[in-house]
Amino acid sequence: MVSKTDDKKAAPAAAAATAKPEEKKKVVSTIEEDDEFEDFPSADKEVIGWDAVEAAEKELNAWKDSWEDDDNETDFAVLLAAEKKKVSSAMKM
Amino acid sequence: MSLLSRLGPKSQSQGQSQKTFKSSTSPLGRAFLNSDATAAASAVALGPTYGILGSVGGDVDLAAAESESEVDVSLADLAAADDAIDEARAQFNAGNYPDAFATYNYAAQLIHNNAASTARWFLAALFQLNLNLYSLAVKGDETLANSHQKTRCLEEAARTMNKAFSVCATDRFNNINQSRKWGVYYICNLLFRTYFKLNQINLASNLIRSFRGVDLPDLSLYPIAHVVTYRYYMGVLAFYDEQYRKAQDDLSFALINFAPLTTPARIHNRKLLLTHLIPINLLSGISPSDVVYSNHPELSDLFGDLVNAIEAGKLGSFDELLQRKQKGLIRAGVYLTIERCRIICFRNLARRVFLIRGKPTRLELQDILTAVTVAGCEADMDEIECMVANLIDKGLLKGYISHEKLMLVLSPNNAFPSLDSVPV
Repeated sequence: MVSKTDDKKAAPAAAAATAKPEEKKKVVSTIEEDDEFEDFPSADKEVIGWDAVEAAEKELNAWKDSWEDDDNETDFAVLLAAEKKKVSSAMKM
Repeated sequence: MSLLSRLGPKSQSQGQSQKTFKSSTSPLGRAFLNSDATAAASAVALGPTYGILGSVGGDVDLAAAESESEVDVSLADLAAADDAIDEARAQFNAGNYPDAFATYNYAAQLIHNNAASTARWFLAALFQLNLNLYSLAVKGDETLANSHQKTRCLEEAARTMNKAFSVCATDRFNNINQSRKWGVYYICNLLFRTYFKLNQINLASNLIRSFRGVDLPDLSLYPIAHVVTYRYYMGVLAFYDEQYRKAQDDLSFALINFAPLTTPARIHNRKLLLTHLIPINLLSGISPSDVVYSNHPELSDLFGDLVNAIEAGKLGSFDELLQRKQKGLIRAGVYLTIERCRIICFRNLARRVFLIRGKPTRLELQDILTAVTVAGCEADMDEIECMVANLIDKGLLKGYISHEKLMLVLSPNNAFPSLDSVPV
């Protein structure tokens, strides 16, 4: 996930951290601060443009394909199926 | 705040507006006269500057930027701004944040008032100026709140930033390559951030409206960090407006395009984004993968069990979890959306019954009632009828209920349409 170019950017990022200690503290000290969408430190913006998007697009495969399986073998499905049988046989009696 | 009184109102000395280098001119004045991006950025900095220059985007030759418009700058204003920033730095270092904010805000106003002569080269400084203003305002308000005074910094900052927005949006002189319009989305994002912080997201709609009628370059031409942030805010705003499809579009776009942003902020921001996108996607029948959970254990804590319950149709666990996670979900702002997933959970349970019965065209409601009971949820036949009617109403189930026979008659094909085809 971390590319080589990161090393070069680590320096300005570190400088940013020292330049703005108040911002860093803020982030960890209170819970509310946690809800804030942070500014992307801009050092990397010029290096990486839209071209890199496609290459990196698949980096995070965030979603499962589908839950619409017809698989009745999960624990709960088996439990349900067992219950159905009981109900059905009870009704026959 | 002594400085403010010393400086007095905006200086009238327009006579100094000439495009010549003057060694006596203040740092900002020199930066303006020379269109010097680096000098301008370091003049407005609170601490040592760092690489903000790239953020203006494109492959502009910053040094060669030459504005066609008349230079109309009050060097006295800029000198006053320089002095104010110096004083703000001192106040900031002394921990006096409300005054540091006020002084810096004054400098920002002076600079904005004189920005009409600038071009794209100026954006790096403008971004830094306004980001600093935001940070100072937040610190200032914290200080004020801690001493039980009324907070005011961030509201004032928003007004100043609005001016910065116009500075960018109303560039009529520079050709598009050199235009300040390349700063519109950055400043807009900062305003969104401010409104969210102020809990006044209603103000965002005014801001969005102000984009109308402004002729801007296509969004895709802007730096990716600007675009991702912008789409994030648009997505969250749509989310709160319950426009889930739009929210899904915007947030999914932002998520995919996080990839090239290699910064620590990315991880944090991605977590925030997923916090909103996961509930929306659940409504469309899409659940997060293990990658999400392993990257963001907090999200696993918050959503993991709920997602399992929804997928399997475990209605009882869902209700229990919803109650148990209530606090966290409310804090994250997603409680109502997760609550909506109850019907998805029930839909999955009903579908499970349908599958176990071998996909019949008729289902006894008694079957569904039994399933709900097995799922650990107390319900009677009336409730089941009501819930099934709800499924039909929402288009999640194709069929009708025969009330007399307590029978559900299902459509012979596609009785349970896939969730992403059903409008949420």
